[in-house]
Amino acid sequence: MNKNIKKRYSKLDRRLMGMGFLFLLPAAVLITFTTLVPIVWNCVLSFSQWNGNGRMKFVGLSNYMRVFTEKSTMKAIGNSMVIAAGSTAVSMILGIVLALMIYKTGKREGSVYRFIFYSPSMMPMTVAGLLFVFVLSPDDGLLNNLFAALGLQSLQHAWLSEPGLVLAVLAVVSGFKGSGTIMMMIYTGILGIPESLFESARLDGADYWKEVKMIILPLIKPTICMVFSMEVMWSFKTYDMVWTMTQGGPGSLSKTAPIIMIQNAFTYNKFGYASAIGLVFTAIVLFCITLVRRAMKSEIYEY
Amino acid sequence: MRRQTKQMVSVILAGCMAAALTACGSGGSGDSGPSGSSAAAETKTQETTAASQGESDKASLVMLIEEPNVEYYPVFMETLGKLYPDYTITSKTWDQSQVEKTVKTAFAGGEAVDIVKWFPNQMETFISADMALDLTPYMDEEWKSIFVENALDIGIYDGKLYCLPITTVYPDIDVNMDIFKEAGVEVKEHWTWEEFAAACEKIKQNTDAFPFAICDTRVGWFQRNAFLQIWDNKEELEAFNRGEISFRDERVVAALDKINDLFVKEYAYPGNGAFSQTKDQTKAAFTQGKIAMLFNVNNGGKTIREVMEEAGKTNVCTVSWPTMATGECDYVLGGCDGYFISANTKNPEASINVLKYLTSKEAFELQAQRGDVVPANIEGEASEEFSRDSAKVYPKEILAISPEMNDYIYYDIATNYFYDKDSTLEELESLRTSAQ
Repeated sequence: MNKNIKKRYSKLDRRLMGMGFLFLLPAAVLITFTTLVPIVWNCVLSFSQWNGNGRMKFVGLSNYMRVFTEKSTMKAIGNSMVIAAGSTAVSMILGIVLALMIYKTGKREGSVYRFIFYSPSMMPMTVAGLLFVFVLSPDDGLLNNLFAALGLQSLQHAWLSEPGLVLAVLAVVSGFKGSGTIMMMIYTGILGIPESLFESARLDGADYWKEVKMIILPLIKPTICMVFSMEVMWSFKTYDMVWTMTQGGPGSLSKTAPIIMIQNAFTYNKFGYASAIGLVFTAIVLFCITLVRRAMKSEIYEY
Repeated sequence: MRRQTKQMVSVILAGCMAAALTACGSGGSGDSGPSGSSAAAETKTQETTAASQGESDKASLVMLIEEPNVEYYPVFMETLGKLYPDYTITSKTWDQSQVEKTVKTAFAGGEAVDIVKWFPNQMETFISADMALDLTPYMDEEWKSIFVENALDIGIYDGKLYCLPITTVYPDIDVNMDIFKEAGVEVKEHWTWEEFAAACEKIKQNTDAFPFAICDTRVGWFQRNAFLQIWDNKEELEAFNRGEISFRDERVVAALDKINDLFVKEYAYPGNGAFSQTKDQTKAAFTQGKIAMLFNVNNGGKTIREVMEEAGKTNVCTVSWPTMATGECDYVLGGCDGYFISANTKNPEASINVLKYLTSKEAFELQAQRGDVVPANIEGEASEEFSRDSAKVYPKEILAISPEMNDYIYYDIATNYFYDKDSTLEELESLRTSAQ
């Protein structure tokens, strides 16, 4: 009797599994063609010399050697890391602070605030980038004119031209643009915390800051961790924002890894070298994400 | 039964998805038009099919030549539509920073951007990857007779003609004479570097205006002109252009220092941040009277006059680029804009027909009316002011030795030298030696 039931269930399981696979097939085919095949093709290319037209020539590890020996490439990868770190910090801090500010608001004003704070994230990167180019323009930009109107001329800068500033400004703008999404995700995490916990905390005399410190932040830690990893990944990929605002300039001051990859492939016809840069950069991003996830790993509270 | 239906539905869905993917992947074959992956914006498609014409006359062409706000391109497109009603011509907006990417992405994807506007003296990037069609077999005497003598030479590589010149371009300076007058500076049609630097200093001291503005994509013109002018004779210039003279040569370093001085002294608008001004920003500053001189191209002079007139400033003239030449090398950079045909065009005959119209007397006359200096035998010469340095244009430069050198001198050299002189010289040397 038992054996029959077991047999029947396993047959059912197999059928369900088969159906599951069938439903997964379209997505699997799509991912194979749009992600896996390009990755494999990129790997092959990175060991070759190819000008985009004509025959490929196997060159072994020389493209990879060049990535690590060429100063401009390493500098561009370094710039990407600076922008990614800055942008992640800005968007995480801003996103969390905004979420903590709006979760207490009422239904109507809450939706207004959410819309306002989320709107930068809804804007296309290029539009946001262009807007900030106007805002940060040295002569007729809004920010410098605001400083002038306030009598703070000493704070005026060529925000997108000075070597010590350009990367920081790009990181802040990129972080500001991404903060809306972070805010919404954190806000959703906060909404998942049972109201009873806040009520009992209030009965115990906890103020708002204690609620944040003792209840909200520990309980939404898994959300913060997930959002943090995603933000790190997004920040590393920043291309359109940098291209719109500085095109990697002035000179090569703000060139990032994606920019030099495109330059090497489409301007210098060095598709193999561009692929090697891409793969090295991917490895760095993966390493950073693993590091972040490890660092954020700690006990998770259940409620 | 219900489960079987579900299974059937899932199989059909998977099949549909696979079919859709296959269809997406095969979009490049046939005359299906341009690739969607192209970075350039698609602006217009003209499609007129005359039933009387045979199937063989039909052709789909993609053109990447049309610049916004240039009046003659819409006229060209309209005329082509009338001349070749069976051609489906898709025109994409030309943006210099996107051209290589667009053409090469299309090429790698098996698509063709059939007719492309590019610079005849900078064709290495396409020729080295066999991406440009050899036009020599199509260039008959009748077609050749349109061009002035030796005009086609600039687009010839290893005896093969790849790119046809359409307008002669070189840099010059548009001057707001009111500011010069206020500063007590005499306007000179031709001047030396020292005279120019002295004028900048006077303007800075005696007026509220900045001496000059140059947009981010043109800052490298200072160095490019200097690299043509600082040599004692043409042999030395040619040797430098072949990459045989070091960038650490004292003449090169002295010239780079002189140029750098202009930015150190903050003559360039708006002082700090002078390297990242866009074309629109510099133009706006010029029309607002914030700057005395605008570095421009000769064929943009007429437009600037019109814009200045609208702004109520009519006292504007055009002068030559200041020269560093002391010997026989009094040249300016420049060359031509031109058209080439992509080597993988599916319709070479149709592309040639279109190219013949674009380089016809009619098309050149339209260009000339707008102020372009055209290398063609046509009636109605361009104004002397906008063509006076045509004879000084030296089309070969050091930047031709490699695409990397081209990019570095075009976009990076001025800023990088300003912030880190030694590293810049090191990078230039590295690029020079690796291109040997």
